[in-house]
Amino acid sequence: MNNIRKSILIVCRKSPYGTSLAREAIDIALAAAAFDQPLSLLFAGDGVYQLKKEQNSEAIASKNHGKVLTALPLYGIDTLYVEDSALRLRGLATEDLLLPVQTLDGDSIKDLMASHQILINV
Amino acid sequence: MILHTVNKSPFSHSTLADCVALCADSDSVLLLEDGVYGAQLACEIISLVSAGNGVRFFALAADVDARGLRTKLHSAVTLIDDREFVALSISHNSVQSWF
Amino acid sequence: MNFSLLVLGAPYSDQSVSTALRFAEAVTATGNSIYRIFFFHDGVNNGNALITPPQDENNIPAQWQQLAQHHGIDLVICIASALKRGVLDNVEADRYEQSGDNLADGFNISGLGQLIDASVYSDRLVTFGP
Repeated sequence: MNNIRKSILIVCRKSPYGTSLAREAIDIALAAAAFDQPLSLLFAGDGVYQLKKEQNSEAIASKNHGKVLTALPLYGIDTLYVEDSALRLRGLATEDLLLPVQTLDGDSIKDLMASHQILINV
Repeated sequence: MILHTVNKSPFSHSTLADCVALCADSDSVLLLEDGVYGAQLACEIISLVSAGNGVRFFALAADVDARGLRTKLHSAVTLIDDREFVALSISHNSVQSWF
Repeated sequence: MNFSLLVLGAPYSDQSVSTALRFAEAVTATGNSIYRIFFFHDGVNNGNALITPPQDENNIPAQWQQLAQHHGIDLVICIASALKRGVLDNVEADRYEQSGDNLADGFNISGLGQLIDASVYSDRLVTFGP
């Protein structure tokens, strides 16, 4: 993979805990980061809930998804994009999220999608 | 140009609405599996979107026929087969699946 | 063009698996090629050798095997998803002291790096989700 660099956009659309897909999307992101390909991560739709502060998953015997996300900067994933309208529809603001994010409107998201060569939407 | 695939009914999931909200004018949407319920005249989303911009809608004929929807389709939807699905994947820059 | 597929659905439970099979067949029938099919999440069940469908239904794991054999396609099962769902090859079965292994012939167990590799080396990555 040394000679080829392709930009990857991972769109995380699933809320945490209800299915394993939210966690699995992050696993893909961490794998992509480890392979040193240009990577962007977008949380859209119910995926914005993955970033919600104050998650406490002990009683449902599940790994704390918020804690998993705090590993992202350690893998060099510093910019987390969030669909602005998804936050507003759900009555959330960036202050409700546990990591710094960059909110994007619809047109900016379309540009983000068009500018990446590989789209993985989970 | 992105090819988006949607496999959920718009009557039970917001998936199709979420998808078209993020479609550029040059994108296409392929409805497949339960997504073909969105190809019907009764589904308002396609009317709204196809009136406004250049997004093209397709549906997998095999899924339309399995569900008995041939006579209920919106005129803005083009029926395609599996080989044409492959061709669309090639003619677009990437494929984004919504499920 | 060269394709890779990401399959997330379980055979017989999710129609997305049949769609993926038909798409894969159409890719090869139209003179294109498939580099890798990566099975993740419930998709790892596609590599379960113990699947025993009724006589009047398609044998999905066998269909993947035949496709891979005819066209030299790499079928990869994600190890993390597979262990959680009880799909093990003999190496993992020994490692975890399980009573048996059940990975179907023609499938290989590996990590998510194979998905990233497939994405980068293929012209198109197409995902089939439940």
